[in-house]
Amino acid sequence: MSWMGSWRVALQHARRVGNQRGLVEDGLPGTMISRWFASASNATATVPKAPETQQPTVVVSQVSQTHSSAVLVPPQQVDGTKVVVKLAEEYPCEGAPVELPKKEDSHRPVFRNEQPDQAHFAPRIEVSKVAENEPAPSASANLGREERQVHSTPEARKNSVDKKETAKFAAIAATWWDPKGPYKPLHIMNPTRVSYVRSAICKHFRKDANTPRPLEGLKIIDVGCGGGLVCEPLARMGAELTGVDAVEKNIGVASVHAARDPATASIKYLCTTAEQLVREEQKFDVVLALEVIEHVADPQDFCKSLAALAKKDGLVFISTLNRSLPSFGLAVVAAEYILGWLPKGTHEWSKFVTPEELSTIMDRSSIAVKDTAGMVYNPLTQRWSISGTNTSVNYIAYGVNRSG
Amino acid sequence: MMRSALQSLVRGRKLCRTANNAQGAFLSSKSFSTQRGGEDEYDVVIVGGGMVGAAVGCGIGSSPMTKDLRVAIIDSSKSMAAPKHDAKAVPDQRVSAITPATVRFLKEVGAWESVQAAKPTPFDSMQVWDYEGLGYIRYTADDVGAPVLGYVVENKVLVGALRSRLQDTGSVEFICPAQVKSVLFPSPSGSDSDARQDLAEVGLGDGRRLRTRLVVGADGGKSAVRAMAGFQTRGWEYQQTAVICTVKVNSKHSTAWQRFLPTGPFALLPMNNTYSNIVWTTTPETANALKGMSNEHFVAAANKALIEDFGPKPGSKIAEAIGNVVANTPLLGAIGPSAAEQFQEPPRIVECVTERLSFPLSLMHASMYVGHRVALVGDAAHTVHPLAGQGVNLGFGDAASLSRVVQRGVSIGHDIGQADLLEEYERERKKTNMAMMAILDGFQKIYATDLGPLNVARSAGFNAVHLLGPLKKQIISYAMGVL
Repeated sequence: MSWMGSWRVALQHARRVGNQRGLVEDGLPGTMISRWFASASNATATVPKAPETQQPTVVVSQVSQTHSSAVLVPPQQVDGTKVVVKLAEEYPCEGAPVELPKKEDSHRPVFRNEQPDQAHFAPRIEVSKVAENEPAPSASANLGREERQVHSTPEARKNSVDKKETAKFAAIAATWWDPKGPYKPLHIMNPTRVSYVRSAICKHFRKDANTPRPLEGLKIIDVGCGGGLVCEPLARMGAELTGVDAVEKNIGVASVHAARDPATASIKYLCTTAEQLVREEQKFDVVLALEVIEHVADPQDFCKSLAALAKKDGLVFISTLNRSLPSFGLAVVAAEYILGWLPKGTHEWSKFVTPEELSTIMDRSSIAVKDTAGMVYNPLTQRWSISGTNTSVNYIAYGVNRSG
Repeated sequence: MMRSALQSLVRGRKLCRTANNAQGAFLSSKSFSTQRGGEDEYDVVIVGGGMVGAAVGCGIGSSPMTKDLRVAIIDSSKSMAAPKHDAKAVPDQRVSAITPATVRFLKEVGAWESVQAAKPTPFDSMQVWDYEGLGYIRYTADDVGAPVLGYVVENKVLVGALRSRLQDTGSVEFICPAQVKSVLFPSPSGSDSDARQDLAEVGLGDGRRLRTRLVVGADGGKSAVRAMAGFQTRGWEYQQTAVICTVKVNSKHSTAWQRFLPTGPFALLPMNNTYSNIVWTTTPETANALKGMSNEHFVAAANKALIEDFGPKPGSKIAEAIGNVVANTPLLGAIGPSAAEQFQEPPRIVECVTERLSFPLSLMHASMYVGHRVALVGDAAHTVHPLAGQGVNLGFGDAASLSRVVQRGVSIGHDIGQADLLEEYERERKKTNMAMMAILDGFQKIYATDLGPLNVARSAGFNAVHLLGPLKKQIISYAMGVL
C-alpha cells in the first residue's frame, strides 16, 4: 500500500516530467528531472554532425567526480562523436544556452551586469569522447542512460550574464518553487525530510525542539542544494546555511529565491563541489546530501568528502532511493516502459544504493550511523511520513562523524 | 481624523513596546523586527479584531512555536480594551451557544478563565420539535457521555476574554481605530527578484502601510480582504430575518429549545437566573412588526410561537406509533438513553428586557479560503443560518485550525504565508464548514415547506432520530463540534 502510494506519486511526477520535454517557450525545463525522482546518471548523448544543424547544442556533461553540468557545444565543435555524459542532478535543462559553471576563483552566483570571463568557463569541463565507431551499448546496458540533445535559439547564444539572465533565474525560480508546478512531489515530500532532519539535529545537539529557531548557532551545509528547497526552511529555523551545487543555474535560482525573504537572505549559495570545499578545509556542524548520492560516480568517495566536511561529532545526513523491486517498478518499468512518460533508460536503477550498502559506505567513511528511516507517501492524506521499517523506496540515514 | 490616526500610531507603538518588554529574552528571536528592523513589517496582520480575529491572535500567541511572530490586529473600534462585565446586569441580546470544542480551544489559548468568571450558562439538553406537533427530538448530554452540551455566552464576554488574553501576553499589537483601505497581494511565486515584492501590503486610512507575510481576513460577511484577494462567493439570501432579544421566563431551565415554524425556527436559549435569549427567525415583514410592537404584544406573540401556535404538542399516539415502528426495526441500532425522555413543555416568556434587534439572514461561502499570503476565517469565509448557533463555533474552529497550521509551518521552516501550507487549513475547514452549512440549510429548507406528506415524513424522521442511539449521538456530536 505504502509503496504503491509512492509509486503513484512517482508516476504522476514522471508524467509531468515527460510532458515537459522540449517545452521551452515558458521557460520550463525541457527535461527537468527531479532529484527526488532518481534522475539519470551516466548517459550517452549523440552530438549531431555539423551540417545537420547550425544551432549550438547543449550537452550535459560530467564536470567532476561527483558533479556535472552542461556544456554549450558550438556548431564547429559538433563532430558527431559520442560523449559519455552525466546528467546533473536537478539540472533544469532548457532550450537556452547555459553558462558553464566552475569559476575557480569565486564561489558565488552570477550577478546581473557581470561579464563572465570566457576563460573561466572552459577548463573544467571534461567530456570524455568515445570513438565514433564504438558499438552502441546493448539494450540492457542502455538501461539507465538517456539520450538527450537540446537545441537552443540563436539569439540566446551570447554568453553574457545580464539583467535578462537574472530575470530568467527568477522565472525558473518561480517554476521551481511553485508548489503545484513540476516539482510538486518534491514540495510535498520536503516537510517530511526537513522535520526528520530538524528533530535529529535537535536531539544530537540537545536543542529545544519546541522553539521556532532551534538550529541557531549551527553551521549547516546542503550539498546538491538545487533550488534551495532544504536550505530555506533550515535557515528559518536559525541555522547558518551554506548551499552548494555544481550547476550554476541552480545556484542562480536558489540565490534569487532566497533573497526574496529576509529570513532566508543570509543563506550562502556557492557554485562548487564538496571536494572543493574539502580542499578549502571548510567544516560544518551538519552536512546534508539529500537525494544526491544516487547521481554520483563513486558513492564511497562522495561520502568520504561529506565526512571530511563535518566537524568531529558533527552529523551527516544522506537520503536516496532504495534499489528494490518497488523502486524498479516505479522508476523504470512503469514510467519508462509501460507508460512511456520518460525515455527508456532514464533511470540507472542499478546505481541505486540499498540501506545496507549506504550503511557500509557511511561506516567506511567513519560515520557512525545513528538511524535509517523510510519515507512513505500516503495518497489519501497526500502526506509523506517517516516510517521506521519501510525503506523500500525512499529513505534517509544519518550518522555522527567520528574522525576529527 | 488626523488626530485619531496619530493616536492609533502612538497606541500601536506603545503596545509594541510593552510587547517587547513582556517578552524579554525572546526579543532577539522576534521574527521580523530583528532581521529587518522594518517598523511596519509583520509576520501576520489580522484584519478584524472581533471574536474570530482575536481568537486567531490568541491561537498564534499562545503556542511556543509562534508566540514570537510579529502579529498585528487591525480593528475599526475605538479601543481594543476588554469591556467591563457586570454579572448582575441584564444580559446582552447578542449571545453564542458555544460547543465543548470551542471551550477546549478557549482553554488552550488561556481565555476560558475569564469567560468562566462571567458565568456562562451551561445547557445540558436540547429539544427540537415542529409546529405539526407530530415529532420531536430531545437529547441530553448523557447521550454522548458529556457533562454539558455547551454554554450560552454573551458575545461581548467572549471578545473581552480573548482581547484581555492578548493584552496579558503582549504577543499582538492592536492597531485601532483604523480602516483598511487597500490590500495588495504579490504574485504567487513571483518572478520579480526584488525581495520586498513578495510581501502583502495592507494600506490603512491614515496612509500607513503594513507589509506582511500573511493577511488574515477576519472582517466578517462583507470582508474587504476577501474582495481584495478576488475570491468569489456563492450564496443566497434566505428572505428571512432574525429578531433577537433577552427575555425573562417563568422558571429557570437548562435546555436549548428550538421549534420549527413554517416561517422559520424559534429558539430560546437559557441564560443566568431566569433570563433567556430569543433568536426568532421569520419573514422580514413579521420581523419588522415584532420589533415595533409593544412589550406585552411581543411576549404574547413569542409565547404563541413557542408553545401554542399550530396544532398539538408532540407526544401524541401518532408520534409514538411512528416511533415504535422505526425503533422496532432491527438494523437501525440501539436506543439511546434519552429515548425514554418525554417531550417537555418550554417555560413561558414573561417579559422582554432588552431592545429587539434584527438582522437579515444569508448563506455565503467563499470559493477559496486561502491564497498566496491570505487566509479567510469565520464569517469572511462562510456565513451560515444561525439556527443551531453554529456560526461562531465554525469561526473558532477556523481560528484553531489556522493557528495550528501556522505553528506547523514554523516548525518545518515554511514560509507561513505560502499557499501550499495554508491549503492544509482550507482542506481541514472546508469539509467541516460545508457539511454544517448543508445540514443547516437543509433543515431550514425542510421546515420552510408546509406540505402534508412531507410534514409526516419529517415528523417520522424526527421521532426515528429521537429513538435511535447511534444516529442521535452522531448528530449531537456534530452539533457539539466534536466531529
